[in-house]
Amino acid sequence: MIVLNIHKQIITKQILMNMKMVISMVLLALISIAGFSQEKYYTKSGKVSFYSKAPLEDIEAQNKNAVSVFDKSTGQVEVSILMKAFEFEKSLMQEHFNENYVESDKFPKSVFKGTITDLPEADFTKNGKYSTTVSGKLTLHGETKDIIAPATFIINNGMISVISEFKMTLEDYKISIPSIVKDKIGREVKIVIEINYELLKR
Amino acid sequence: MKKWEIIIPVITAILIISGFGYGWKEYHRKHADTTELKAAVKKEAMALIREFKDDESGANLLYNDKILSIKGRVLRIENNGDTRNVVLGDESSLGGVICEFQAEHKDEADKLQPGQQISVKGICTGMLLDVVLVRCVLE
Repeated sequence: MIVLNIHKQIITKQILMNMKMVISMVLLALISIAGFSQEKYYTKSGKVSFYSKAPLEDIEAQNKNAVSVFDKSTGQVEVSILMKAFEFEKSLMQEHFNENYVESDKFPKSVFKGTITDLPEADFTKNGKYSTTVSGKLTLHGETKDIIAPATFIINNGMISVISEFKMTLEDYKISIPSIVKDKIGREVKIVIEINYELLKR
Repeated sequence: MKKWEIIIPVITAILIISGFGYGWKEYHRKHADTTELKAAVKKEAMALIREFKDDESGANLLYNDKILSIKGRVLRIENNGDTRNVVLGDESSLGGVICEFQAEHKDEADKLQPGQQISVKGICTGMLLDVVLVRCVLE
């Protein structure tokens, strides 16, 4: 009888231990999922602007519907825009941009995929400005080119914002300019990206 | 001096001035306010999203650059500086219709509440994660 009781106790202990292990594993999995989800940030309303100084007229346009995802743990960043969502002050300029220059019907999106190469060791939860470098590939007008640009991260009470500015040439992306305005349009275009990220909740 | 010797230079001058005038006006033409434009297509927000998800290229051809009148439920209103993004759709779906209201019409967006059924007129620019309409106005 005593032996039977001891045997019962051993079995109960084993069951309890197994249950504890399962609970621990589930908790560990939940914690790692929660931890992982806290690493990714996104926006659907990033701002991408471009500026081109030209003898005829300065050209500028804004797109405030850029989608971007930033993975804090790996430093990977992706920005996508719809070319037709660029807004120009002048209607005709917008038409020419979409029809003659970037051919938005044929190439409706532009995508940048890159990595923050020198992601600061500093905790992103600490308020401050962090100067970093982003490098990756920009696809525009069906052409993909390497881009290296400075990117400033601004951390304010857990909110992550980033500003990046770089220059690109139209020739690199095979954007041809009609000969009639060739001397009147700047070859170099300044791109400014401003993004306020939100934590990606899963 | 013969009559035609006066008439021809005058007509030429008028044509050149009118040509320059038209060119100048056309070059400086601003975007028309969407309120004044007639919608080419009327659709439910969810039906538009489904069409884009099923066949994005086909939907791009059908709807991009067109003025769409879209009915749907307000999911949220996002303050984006001097513009507002009103997102229409269904909470269960992955995507929605983002309607960008520019500065001149942002007051219309500010009055909206999540859950409200509305009709928005705007210009379709395609789809990223959501279908994006720009220069939107409330109908």
